[in-house]
Amino acid sequence: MRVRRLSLRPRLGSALLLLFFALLAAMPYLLPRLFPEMETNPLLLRRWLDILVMANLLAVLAMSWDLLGGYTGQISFGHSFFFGLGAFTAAILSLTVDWSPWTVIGVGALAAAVGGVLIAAPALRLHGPYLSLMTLVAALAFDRFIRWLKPADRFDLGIPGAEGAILCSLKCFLTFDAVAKYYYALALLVGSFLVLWAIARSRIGLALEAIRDDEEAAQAAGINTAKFKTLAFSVSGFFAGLSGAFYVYHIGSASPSYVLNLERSVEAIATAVLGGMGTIVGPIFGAYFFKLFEELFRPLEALRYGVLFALALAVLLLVQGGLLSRALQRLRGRDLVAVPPSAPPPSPPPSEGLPQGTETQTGTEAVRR
Amino acid sequence: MTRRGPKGSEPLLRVEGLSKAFGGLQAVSDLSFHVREGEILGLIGPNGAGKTTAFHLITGMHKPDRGRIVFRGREITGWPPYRVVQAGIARTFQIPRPFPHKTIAQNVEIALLPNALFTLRGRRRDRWARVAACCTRAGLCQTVGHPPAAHTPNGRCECWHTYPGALPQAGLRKLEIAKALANDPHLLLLDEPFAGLTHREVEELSELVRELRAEGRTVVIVDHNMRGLMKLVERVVVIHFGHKLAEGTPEEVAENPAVQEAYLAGTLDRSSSSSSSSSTLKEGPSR
Ligand SMILES: Nc1ncnc2c1ncn2[C@@H]1O[C@H](COP(=O)(O)OP(=O)(O)OP(=O)(O)O)[C@@H](O)[C@H]1O
Ligand SMILES: [Mg+2]
Repeated sequence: MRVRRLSLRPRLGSALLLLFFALLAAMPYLLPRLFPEMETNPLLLRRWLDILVMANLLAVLAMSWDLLGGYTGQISFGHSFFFGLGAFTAAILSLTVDWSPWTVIGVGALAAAVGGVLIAAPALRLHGPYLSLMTLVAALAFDRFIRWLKPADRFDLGIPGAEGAILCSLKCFLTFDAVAKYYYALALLVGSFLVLWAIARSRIGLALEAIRDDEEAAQAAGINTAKFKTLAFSVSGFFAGLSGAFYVYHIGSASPSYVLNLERSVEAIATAVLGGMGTIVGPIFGAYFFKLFEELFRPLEALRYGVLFALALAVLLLVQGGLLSRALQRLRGRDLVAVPPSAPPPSPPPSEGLPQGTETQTGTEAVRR
Repeated sequence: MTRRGPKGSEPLLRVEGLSKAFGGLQAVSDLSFHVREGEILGLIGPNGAGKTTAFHLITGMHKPDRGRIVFRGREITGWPPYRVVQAGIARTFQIPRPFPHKTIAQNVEIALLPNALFTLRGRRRDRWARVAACCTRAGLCQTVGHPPAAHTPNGRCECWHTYPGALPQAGLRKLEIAKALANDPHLLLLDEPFAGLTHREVEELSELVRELRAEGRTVVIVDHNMRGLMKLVERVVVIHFGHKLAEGTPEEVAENPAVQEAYLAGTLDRSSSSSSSSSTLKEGPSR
């Protein structure tokens, strides 16, 4: 006889998520019912659907960051590099080759995955702040490189006043139908989520978490850390690039001042932090929160971002697991008494209870922490 | 196999002229010793003698400045740690290093993960059976407690729901050993496994080490002194300031004047509470 009293509870999260996706799928029908002015003004509906598309793109970008930062502990400050690499690859391809939009977007994502492998090469030798700094500098360098390259000059399609930007709106568009585009973006979100979630929950995800928690101990456990870190960089790059490439097909242009702006990196981090690092699902909610806040508090102008980033800071300081995962844990009644996941990853092992040779224990190994 | 070991056969592990400096500090200098197949070897030395560093060098976590490491006739110097593990050497850490956000069972599972991205070997179900076996073997299930279900064939102990933070010091050491066993090592390197354990726990662990040896594994145990090792090990290598000071049976080594002097000097340097050299060597600092 197996009584599993709690068996329903772990599914609560999945049920909520399904409900949320269903809600998103119903949006094009719900919005006009909820806000009658959208019924009379189709442009308003279109605007809101576009905002939701942007939320989905931010969610994909933040999830990709989360696999690398939240799961593997490789904190990237330069995700705009991958986003921009996917965007520019897609923009240039859309003008030069005659492939279907989906092929171009896929190739853009693949280019960013290759970019991930390239970044991983130096990243394998760096740790902590040095690694973050390296990703930041790589993103900046790529931004300056594109501005210098002025790829648009080749096609005579630059945007006056926007250095290095490519206007490809005649070639890089998916559809005029705002509702269809919304569903494409939703499919992108759900598909990306499913893949990243599957990776995170698999044995690969377990290896990544081991690397995050204690890289040396992971090595001692026989894990090929270089290989798994490279994998994390390339998968993360792939989805960030996917988001960037889709963005180009959404907006119709690629401009360094947007797609390579370091703000993209910061937004991705803030989104992941708000939703909960190391959860994959959290960034989805973080992204919707971010984009809706941005839109609803438009009158606050730049202050909105001040508030959003301050919120992210507060979450970092107070609830490291993120708002969502904390709330879900409460709901499930599963408190991880022993070591809550909110503990900072590099937390030293409990050092109490060393009745003998405490000076020994702190001597050598503690030095290296 | 060209070179012949002291017993007429190639030793399982041969360390030759190993050196490692950290900045100006020579942690290990020109260290040579060997480990015979199927023995339990004690590696002892005072604080800062370089024992842990020697383990780091053997397992590939540090690259040696000079020297060679030969395991089962193959030179493994400079191999990345995961290849050393694959070759059959597993180690525990002096300060237990659990993965704090993963359950005890997952901690052990991590040591069982295949490195291949796509593989049909190492299915999750088989892995979990191995996890259960390793947890039981290392005595973890007894530590965290068996629920009644654990007595059925598919039963699992509390390791599947407990996080390492809930473990006492002895439990964390058992977890280290369970993780090392999960790698199915030919050679097991234990870094001060007895530190902080009660007399009974020391006995239990000694028994486990003997069992492991009986099933054909070789064990190297690092300790400060020979307390607890006397009855367990057949042979002892003493390290001091990074190189080998003496080797032999525990009795021989305890009588060795150079060893006694090293321990006396070390004791005075650290002005520790222990009284005499031989008591430090044999019994260790009183707790
Ligand atoms: N990563 C490191 N960086 C700098 N110095 C180190 C490092 N690791 C060890 N050392 C130094 O090397 C020397 C040998 O250290 P090691 O940890 O090997 O000694 P040990 O024999 O294990 O000592 P203990 O009994 O205290 O564990 C010590 O003086 C230590 O401070
Ligand atoms: Mg040591």
